[in-house]
Formats: sequence, structure tokens, C-alpha cells
Amino acid sequence: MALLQISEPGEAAAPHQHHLAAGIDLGTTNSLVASVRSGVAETLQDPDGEHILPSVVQYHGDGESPTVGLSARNAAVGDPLNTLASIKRIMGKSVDELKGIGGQYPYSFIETGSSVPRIETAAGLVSPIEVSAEILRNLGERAVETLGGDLEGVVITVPAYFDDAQRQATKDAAKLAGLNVLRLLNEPTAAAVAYGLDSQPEGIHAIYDFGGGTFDISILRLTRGVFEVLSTGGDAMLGGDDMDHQLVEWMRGQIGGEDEVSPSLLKYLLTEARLAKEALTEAEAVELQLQYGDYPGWQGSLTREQFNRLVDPIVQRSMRIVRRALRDAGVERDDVAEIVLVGGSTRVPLVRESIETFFARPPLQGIDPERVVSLGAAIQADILVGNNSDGDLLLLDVTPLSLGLEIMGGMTEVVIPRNTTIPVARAQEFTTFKDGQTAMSIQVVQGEREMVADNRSLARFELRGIPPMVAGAARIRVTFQVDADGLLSVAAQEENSGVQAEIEVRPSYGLSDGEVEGMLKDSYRFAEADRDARMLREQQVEAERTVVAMEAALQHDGDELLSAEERTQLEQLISCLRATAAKDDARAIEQLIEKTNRDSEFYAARRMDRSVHDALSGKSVDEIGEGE
Amino acid sequence: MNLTTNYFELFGLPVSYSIDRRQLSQSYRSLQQQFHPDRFATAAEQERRISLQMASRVNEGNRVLRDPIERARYLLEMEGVDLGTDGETLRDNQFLLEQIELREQLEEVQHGADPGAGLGHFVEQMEQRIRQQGEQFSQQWQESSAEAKKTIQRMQFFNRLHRQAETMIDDLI
Repeated sequence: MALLQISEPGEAAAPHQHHLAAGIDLGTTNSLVASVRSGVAETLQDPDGEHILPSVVQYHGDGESPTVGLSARNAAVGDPLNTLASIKRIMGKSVDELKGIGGQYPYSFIETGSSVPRIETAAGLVSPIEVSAEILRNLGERAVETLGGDLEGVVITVPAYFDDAQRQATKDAAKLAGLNVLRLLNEPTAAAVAYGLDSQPEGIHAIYDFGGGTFDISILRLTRGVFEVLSTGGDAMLGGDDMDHQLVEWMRGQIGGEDEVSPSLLKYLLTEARLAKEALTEAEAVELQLQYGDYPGWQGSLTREQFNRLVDPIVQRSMRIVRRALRDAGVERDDVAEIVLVGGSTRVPLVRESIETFFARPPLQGIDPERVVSLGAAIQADILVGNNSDGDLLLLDVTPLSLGLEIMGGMTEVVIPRNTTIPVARAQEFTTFKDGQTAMSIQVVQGEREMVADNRSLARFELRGIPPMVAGAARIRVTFQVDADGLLSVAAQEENSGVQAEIEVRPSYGLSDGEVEGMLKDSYRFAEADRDARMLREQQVEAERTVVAMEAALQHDGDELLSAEERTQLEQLISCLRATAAKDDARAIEQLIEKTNRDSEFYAARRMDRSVHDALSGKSVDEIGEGE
Repeated sequence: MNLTTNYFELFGLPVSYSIDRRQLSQSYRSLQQQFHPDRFATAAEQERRISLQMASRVNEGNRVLRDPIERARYLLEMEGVDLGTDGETLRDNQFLLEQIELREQLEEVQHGADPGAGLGHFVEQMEQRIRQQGEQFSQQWQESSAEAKKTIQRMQFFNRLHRQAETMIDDLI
């Protein structure tokens, strides 16, 4: 489907080319990469035949590369401070926020003045973003080796409930890993795609996603190839890890002894807890033999019933969130046709029982709940790079949390309520409250609470240069734009004078652009020459896209929509861009692409208006699209 | 880009308060099928930007036209009527009394014997009132924008109570 890239039906299209793309499930506990090969989505294995990559990174001294995956996980007990696990739960979190949850982690968190916390390791200070980048890089390399070529792009899944800072952190990690992100896709939506619910007739479906560290519920409606997310809810801090911690508390109660536990004992108990939990999926009881070093040990059994009592509050919390999501979607539990289970924690029998009781029907089974998300991501990646010719499946997702501004009295004024379909742009007008006021500070928050202080601050920015006027005369229009990845940008403008301030929302908790660039530079994997070559290649690809799109457009309707003079000008621009792209000045190419875009904006607008009319006048999308 | 065409035109609908919801849904889907950023994931930067703007506009138009109050406001705005802020009060004594009564009723229901059922009923009642006002609006907006504006304010009041009742239901959960 293309807007500028339109060719007449029957016209020779570009020779069919298979684009390489992959879907990555970057999980709290485990991660996977999958790709569509010969029309079938499958997870890719490493040389040892393992599909699942434990999301664990072990850092070493002496400039040695970090170890990722199983061997890192196995090293955790012996080297707890350098072996980082469950990092997803602290993605996008500030130093202050970590004080609440950091106790569950044995690592040494360091405050550095950056808004992103660092962890002290043998290889120096690392941020959660860099740790995630190691996992992504590992999976990206696996895909390149398996598929036999560079990836055009990847789809990375995130919990639907991830806020802006967590999404941005994930995207930054991909950038550090050298991956082109086609889309951040919500995990529940990915699962729905993997189950092929889109091949079903119309219906409403619920996706219950209980992973290692996060819980998500999404209610989706399918109508003729369009998947609309009606509502989503969740808790980015609720997952199977909490069950493990609950169990560790219980174990410590059995062992007795000191209140303080060493990092390595904690790691040991967490491992034992996880194994016990997994065993209780099948068994009615497990025998435990806890003995670590010189610490007092304990021996005894744990029944599934006891375990259920320990984790019941966690499961009940998830069910409350399900009820709210149904209300937000405006549907009753009887309206739900299928329930899809995602995530390792849905293996826990109590979870399955609770869902079956609530919806009065068994959930869908069939796809491994640990792989289903990566498979859905692979299918979406395949569609996004244009491999799937009959891929008219469209996913319309929503914002999980309300976005707003601080107004007088520390109150939140919601600009985009939760569960609004994205992409979305919405403006709000504000005014000055003092005579002659020339600047205004705007705080952007995300969350559902009335008071700003109870929500998450995303950014604070300033609009300066407002012409002095009497109080209430200035009209400041603040526009929120949320893109298809769920990422927010904010622009503000004083309407009378046109004074503009634009910001990208990241300062409160994310890395600044400078920090990201710095990390890219530091990354010893990118020698300077590599980096330059990479930038040049990126610009050349973008130039090629622009040239192809423009030429196709001109051929299609240039005569109709342009005067001869306008057409000649555009043609000159194209040949100029083509000539520049053949040389090796990345900056010059970039500038010329920008100029071409600016100078052809009017033409794009004319084509857009025409295609709106065509879309509505009964012509099918294919007729005005590429045509087969 | 000519994004200034109004939402009715964008969705191929006649400018009117009563709308054909099926037509709206159909147009919405075909516009998103064509303009959604997923269709341009590997396209040139300019195409991606246009697609983002267009898909945003289509989503916003869909929301406004679907919502009975937003749609009414939008029609008056198209006529150049300044609607002021959401909280502007209505100077109408009879309506004022009704407001007080409804607020009391909501409070009673909330603390009543069966708040779940009572609140559910209250929500339905408010939806019905909004519908009634909508019918009135549809008769009057082309005749008298002043009267139509009052009708919108009534709808907004019922809507606030509707939201409050829903929040109370959420709290019950």
C-alpha cells in the first residue's frame, strides 16, 4: 500500500523481493526472536538448538565482551553483582523509583546525575538500556546468521501497559544494538496476531498476558481484517517474579534466622523458588532441600494448595485489572469469544482456573505461551516490510495511560485519555495568568490520578518569547502527538504571535539524545569507520526511497496534478538527489532529502486529498494502491 | 496538506447531527487501511510523516463524530460559534434545581442497598437524557445557535454525572 508509491494496475511492479525482518520478544525472564520463513512464523534457534534466550547479561572485567543467556544465568549465583537479570522491570525507571523496588535486586545502583540509573559491574557502569541492548544485539545477530542477510527491520514487543519512558528506553536499546525498529508492538496484540484471530469472523477477544515481570490485559475487536484494541489495562510491576519473591519470603520464614540476606543467598533462594513454582505446575507437592553455604538450611515440602494461598493475592490483583478493562471496553464478560493466554506465568494452574471461572469457558490453547508473542511480532514485521502481499491486516492500538498537563493547583488536565486509538494528535489551549507574562512552564504527565504529584512526570519544558500581553490574552496551543509506537512528542505555540517551542518528551526519566549518541560512540563494536559507513548507507537508502517514490508519483499523476513548470522543478530535484546519493557525503544527501521533501510538500498534499476522495468513492484500496 | 476539510467530508458523510454509524465505521476502516503508518513502515520519511498526520486526523475525526456531545460541539464550531470552556454554567433556574436533585439521587444510590445495580441504572438514565438532548439539538442547531449551545451544556452536565457514576462503579470493583 503506498501513498506516493503508486503504480497503475497491470504495470510492471518492481521485481518481487523478499525483505528480511524479524520479531523480537524482549521479555523480563526470557527473550526470543522469530521470523516468517516460507510463509510460516517460527522462532529461531541458537547454534546449540536453544530457542529461548534467558534475559540475563553477565559483565566481565578486562574488556571482555559480556555473556548473554543461559551461561550468564548459570553464573548468577556465583557472580550475583555482575550478572544482571529481570532488567526489563527497571527499564525507564528513575533512581528514586528504584528505591522502592531496588531491594529486590542484589545489584549496586549508582546515581550519576543522569536521569537514568547505572549499575556498577566489573565492566564499569551500565544502564538498564545498555543491558537490554546486549540481549537485543544477541538476538539480532542470531537472526542475521539464520536468515543469511541484514535485517531491514525488527518489530519489538512491549507490554501494552508500558509508559512513554519505558517505550522510549526500549527503542533506545534497539538503537544501541544497531537494529532498525519498524514498530514497537504491544505484546497482547502480537499474541492475537499469532493466534490468527484475524482469520476468524468478527468477534471480541481478550488477551491475558502474565509474564515474568509484567501483567497486561487487552480487549480487542476484529472487523474485516482490522484489529481494534478497545481497551488495555495492566500493571508493569506485577508478574511471575512477584510469585517467586512471595515464595522466597515464605522460605526465609521456614529457615528462620537473620533479617538480612546476602545477594548470593537471595539469588539461591530465588532460583529454588522458581524451580518449585515450575514443578508445582504438574505436581501436587514438591520436596524442598534448602542449603546454601554456611547458612542454616531447611528441609520440608510445599503443596500446591499452600503455594496457591501464597500467590492468590497476585492472581486476584490481575483479575481486578481484567474487570476494569472490560468496563473500559464497554463489553460484558459474555461478549468475549476467545481468551488467549500469554506468558510463562499463565502455566500456573491457579491462573488458568481463575480465568476459566471468571469467563466461564476455557482459554485458547495450542501455541506455546512463551513463544506466541515473538511469533506475532514476526508476522507483523513481515507485513510491515511488505512481504505479505495479501497482508491487509491492520492493527489499531490504543494509549494505555492518560496523558495530561499540570494546571493551576497541581491538578492534572487530561489531554488524551487512556484507551484512545493511536496515532493521535490533540491540542489544548492555555493562557497566561499574569500581565506581561513572557514565558510559561509546561509539565507533561502520564497517569490516571487527579493530582500531578501522583502521576508520572514525563517532561517539563518551557515556552519562551510570548509577546507581553494582559493576563488571559495569550493563546497557547499545546499539541500532543502520540505516534504508532505509543511515543509522545509535544509542541507548543502561541497563536497570536506564532512563537513556537517544540520538545521531544524524554528528559524526566530517559536518556538524552546526547547520552544515546555517547553510548553509541563508546560501544567498541562500532569502529568509527563502521559508523560512518553505516550513516552513509542509511542516507543513501532514504534517498533511494525518496527518488523511487517521487518518480512513481510523477508517472502516475504528475500530468494531472502539476503544471509543466512544477513538474520540471520536481524532476530537477530528483536528478540532483540521485547524483548526490551516488557520492559519499552523508550530510549533503541528508540536506538534499530535506529540501526535496520541503519542495514537494504541496504535491504530496494534492495527492493526499485525491486519495481520500478515491478511498471513499467506492474504489477499493487495491485499485488505487499498488495494484497487482 | 489540505487537512482543513471538515470531518464530515473526510468520512464522506453529510453535515448533520444524526449520522450513519455504519457508514462512519466503513469509511474509518478504509481510510485507516490506506493511511495508517503501518502501511508506510519502510517508506520515505516524508511519506511516514504525512501518514502519521493523516491517521491521527482520521482517528480524531472518528472519535468526534462518534461522540454525541463532541459531534454537537463540532457542528457549532463549524458555524463559528464560540463554545467557551467545558465548565461554563447555565443560568437556568429550573435546570439548576434538576441538577441538584440528580446529584442527590446519585449520592443516595451510591450509599444505597445495592449500589452496583443502582449506579448501573443511573448510568443508563444519563445516557437516555443525553440522547433526548441530542434529538433536541438536532432540531435546533441550524435555527438558533444560542439555544443549541444551552442544549450542549445540558448534555455536558449529564455526561459529567455519567462519568462520576462510572467512576463509582469502578471503585466498587
